[in-house]
Amino acid sequence: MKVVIKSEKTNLFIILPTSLILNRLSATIAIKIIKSKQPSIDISGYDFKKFINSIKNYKRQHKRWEVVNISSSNGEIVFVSL
Amino acid sequence: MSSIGTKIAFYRKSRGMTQEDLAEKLRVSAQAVSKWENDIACPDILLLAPLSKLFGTTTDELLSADSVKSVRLLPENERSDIKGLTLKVIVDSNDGDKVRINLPMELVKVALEIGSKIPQIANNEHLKNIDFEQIILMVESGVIGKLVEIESADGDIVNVVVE
Repeated sequence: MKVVIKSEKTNLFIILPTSLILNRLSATIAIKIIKSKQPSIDISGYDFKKFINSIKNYKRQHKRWEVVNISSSNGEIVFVSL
Repeated sequence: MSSIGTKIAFYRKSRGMTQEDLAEKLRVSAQAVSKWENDIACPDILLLAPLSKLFGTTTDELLSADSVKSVRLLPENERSDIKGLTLKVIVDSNDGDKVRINLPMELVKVALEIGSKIPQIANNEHLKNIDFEQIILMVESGVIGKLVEIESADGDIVNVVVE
């Protein structure tokens, strides 16, 4: 997964293995954080697992898939690819 | 009547590509793409197959004089599973901001299921009038292409394409 954020204050370029971000542990942590911050949100582990699996499946078929590419007129860039 | 140049320009823009992007993919110069789109020159015959493949269409469609149909209803035998389709949101603002979001329909479907359980999303003023289930149903029924096309008076352009 490649994440690029460029703005006046931020210059971020990260390349991470997708499996490091999208795994059971990160899903569990994410759910716990969401539930602690917003108890009204009712997301189950099953939902999150389904979401992660769909991303993983898609990544297998479309490597380096460009998910988001935003470039603003003042030179800010946000780029996320799988 | 629609020329091959018009069609190349249409398909390129609908995929959020620049002339440079297309040129790079076909290993030609951006000037060559510009000439094709302005009907000054035609692409080499050997490039027709890669072009049509890149645009997800056929060489027949590219060469035919019929206008491009922005929304199409696929025949039942050509309908692919929703998993193979992509939802593209393309925004070009008058100020020069460009937004390109490419999401697999499968992911959109799952995200909507999750989103419906989140009150902040489900009760959102702007979103609650949009029947996403109907959009998914429409796509599953074989309707693909440019489903939303907005051009504001300020010159902002918003396109939502399923392909």
